[in-house]
Amino acid sequence: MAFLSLISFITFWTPNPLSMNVLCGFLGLGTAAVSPPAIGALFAIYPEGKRRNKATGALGSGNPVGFILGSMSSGLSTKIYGWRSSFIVICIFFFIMALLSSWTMPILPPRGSKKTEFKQFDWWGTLFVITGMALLCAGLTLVYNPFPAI
Amino acid sequence: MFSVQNLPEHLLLTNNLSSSRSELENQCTKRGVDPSPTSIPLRLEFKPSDRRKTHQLNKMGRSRLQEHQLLHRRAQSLPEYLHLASNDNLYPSTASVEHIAPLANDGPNADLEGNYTQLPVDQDPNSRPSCFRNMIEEIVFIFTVMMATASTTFIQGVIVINTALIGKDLRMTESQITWISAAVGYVICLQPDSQTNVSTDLQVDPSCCFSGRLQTFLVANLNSAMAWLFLVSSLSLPSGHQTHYP
Repeated sequence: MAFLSLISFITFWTPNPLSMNVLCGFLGLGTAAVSPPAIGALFAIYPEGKRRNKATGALGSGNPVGFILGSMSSGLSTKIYGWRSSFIVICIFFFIMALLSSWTMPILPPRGSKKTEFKQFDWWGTLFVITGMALLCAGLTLVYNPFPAI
Repeated sequence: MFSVQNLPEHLLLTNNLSSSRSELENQCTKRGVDPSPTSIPLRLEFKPSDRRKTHQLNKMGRSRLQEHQLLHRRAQSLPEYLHLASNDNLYPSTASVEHIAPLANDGPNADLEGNYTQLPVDQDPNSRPSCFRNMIEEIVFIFTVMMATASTTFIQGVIVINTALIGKDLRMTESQITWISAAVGYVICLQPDSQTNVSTDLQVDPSCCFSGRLQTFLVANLNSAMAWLFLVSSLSLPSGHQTHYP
């Protein structure tokens, strides 16, 4: 979350389209890295029972709430200070979240060794998925279009 | 009724409860033993070095023992008993290594309090987890987790509002404008928990989130690498049209 905060702060100063897109990619990277460990920690802390069900309910409500919060805060800040200020809002938000999570996130013992994890990781699958998706996108965007009207 | 010679002395209870249940049941069936809970009083043993468990056991009250004794008698079958007991965190999957030792010649009226006082009850599953000192900490934790999962949609919400303005201000081509939101969104389609075992193992293995952290990090990195490949392909477009704003 601190990473997200930092990236959004850098995005505030972005001067050109290329850096804008790359920094948005970094934002996507940050959100992808944050979400699964958070869900895992929630289920690790709560044993099966009503309390876990309630906590999971709150988890499920996160996505719509996040979209609404993002849209509203961004809309307000953009109207008043311009689009760059939206990224400052993201920066402040994730900075607060980073502080809160460092306060409340309990320390859970790791299980298994990194070496085993490294061996078990599906390297070929990941490589093929990435290459395949990249080639598909390149094909869609780079190939000559014989029907320019379309 | 069976004797201890008919069964293995210790059955290792792994983190995966379902396999342990079936393992125990299979052992009983194979040896012609009735796998009903009342015929198999169970004892859980701990490593002597596990001081945390010992401490928790010391804190456990008399009433909890009686509850489990009732549970033990009420269940119709061994799997049911283990299911009920696991719901009550009798076999917490956080445990390092526990052994189930079926004890011989102890019928349904076995004195659990007298002989088997080592029930590994961590805590009431419906009470506040011990890692939180008060309700505020718990609420803040839930909120943090909620917003962590919502971070993607939060950023998307921000970007959706601003896409047109950013494109106009930075004089972007159409493909570049598309990539503002796509750079964030492409990571969703390959969200790490869909590739690693995080989501599937959550129900049985609470520490998986951290064992899967390396994988998560790697996949996230590779996802971003993919996003950059996309970027290179789209930004090098000769046919990218500059949007003309009035």
